[in-house]
Amino acid sequence: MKFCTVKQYFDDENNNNVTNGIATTVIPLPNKHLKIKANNKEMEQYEQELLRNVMPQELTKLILAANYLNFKEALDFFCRTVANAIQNKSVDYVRKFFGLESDFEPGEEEKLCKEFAWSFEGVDED
Amino acid sequence: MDLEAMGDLVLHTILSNLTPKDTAIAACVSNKLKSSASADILWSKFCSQELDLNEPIDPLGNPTPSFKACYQAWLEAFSMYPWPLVMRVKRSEATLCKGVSEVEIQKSERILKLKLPLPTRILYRFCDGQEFKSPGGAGGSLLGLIGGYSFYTHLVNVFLLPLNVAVLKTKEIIRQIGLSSRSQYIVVAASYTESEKVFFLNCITGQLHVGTVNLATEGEMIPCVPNVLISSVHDSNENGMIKLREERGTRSISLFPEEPPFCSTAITNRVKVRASAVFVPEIADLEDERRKYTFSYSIRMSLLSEGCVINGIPYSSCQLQRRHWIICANDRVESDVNDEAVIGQYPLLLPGEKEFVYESYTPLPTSLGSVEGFFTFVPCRLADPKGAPFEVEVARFPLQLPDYIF
Repeated sequence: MKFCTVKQYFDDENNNNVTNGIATTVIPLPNKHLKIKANNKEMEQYEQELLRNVMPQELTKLILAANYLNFKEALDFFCRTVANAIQNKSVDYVRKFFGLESDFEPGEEEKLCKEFAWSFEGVDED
Repeated sequence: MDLEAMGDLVLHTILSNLTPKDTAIAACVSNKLKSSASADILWSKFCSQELDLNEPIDPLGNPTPSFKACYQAWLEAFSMYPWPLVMRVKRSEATLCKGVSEVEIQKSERILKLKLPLPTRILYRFCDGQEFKSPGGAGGSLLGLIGGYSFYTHLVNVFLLPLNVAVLKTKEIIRQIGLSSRSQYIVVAASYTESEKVFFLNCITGQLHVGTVNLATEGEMIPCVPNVLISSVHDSNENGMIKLREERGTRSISLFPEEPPFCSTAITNRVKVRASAVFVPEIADLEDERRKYTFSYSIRMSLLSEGCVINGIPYSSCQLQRRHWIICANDRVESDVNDEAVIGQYPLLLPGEKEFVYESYTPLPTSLGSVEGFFTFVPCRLADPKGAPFEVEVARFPLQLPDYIF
């Protein structure tokens, strides 16, 4: 029931959306989850272990995989991880993390920073 | 990280896990993030969670064009206060009553035969104290704006009284104590718990007093500003002296200081102990030489996330075995306690977990003193000690009357 798309995936021979490496990470998640279902803490630890070794690029692939497989819990979990990674970080850090560039009109960015000046207090140093 | 490939829904899911602060920062990153971070559904969640607001209304009661604008308006209006406290008071606003009329104030003054000081009159015109809803409920009784503390069975949490309740309570107590009706005292705040704590306002001097243990028998009170220095709850909150404490699922304003010099911190073998004390006026007994003043102290202990390390050997936990306290009154040792456990418990500390907090109290013959000592811990567990017991310092913390007694 968690894998509406999995059957499709196995039927589909040329599947670019989910590489094997990612599949081995994402697919065993529900089984493990069921096993440790009672113990939330263990699940958290297992998840932390999993993600300690994952770079942001991999995270994109994991998210795409979870999205494609329609695996809501994993998607939520990966999104939470991204959110934790950018918690209390500066604008520049978040920019670099997502690989984005500022595409604001000149002066627009200053206006925004002024509007949200309260959010810059106590931010971690880069 | 490739945002484009992930789509708006994923981006929204990521953002919905952020705090308001981080959401605002995200809005400054790029146009795409700005538009996602400005989604009003995110800000309506913040307004609901933090300010108990289901509609976008600013502090003056005017509607704002969006929840985002609403959140900003509240932030700006209260930027001079620590935000957690603003959230707390806003959420307990449900207990604050609308002000009374001039006529009601005059009526109360007539009944009690006194004249309220000007600031107090204005206060009641704007806010008629806090309504207390459930006489028996533990949750409701912890919403007092003045805050409180608890140790063993003694629990106080002080509410601002609505004028009509203040009048009733004043009449009751004056009758009990036998104060002359020309005494000019009015009860303005009290704790709705079994342990009584009552604050009186002297309408002539404008001074606030708090009843001691001899209140009922002798009418004994202590002035709340013993050194006639005016500090305020606000100032104390500014430098982190008074914080919110989560207990039994309810958050209440705890009066135990959280910052030095009143709160001491010591770390031994990665075990951290914080300690501070608060003066308990309602148990003070100015007639008893030995037990004149009572102080309650709160001890918080935790194990740092790397775990315990003794002589280079790491342990994943440690458990308390004994306590050793040296209590001084005016630099003279008043008592030296060396005993097992703390409040009958042997707390087990695990790395990186929330602090174990407990409260106890000590009487003192003087208004100035100190407490220091150490705990004896064993590595791992008492049932299975993996090494020799070791001592963890509790750095000295003061016992003294504060500038402003709450």
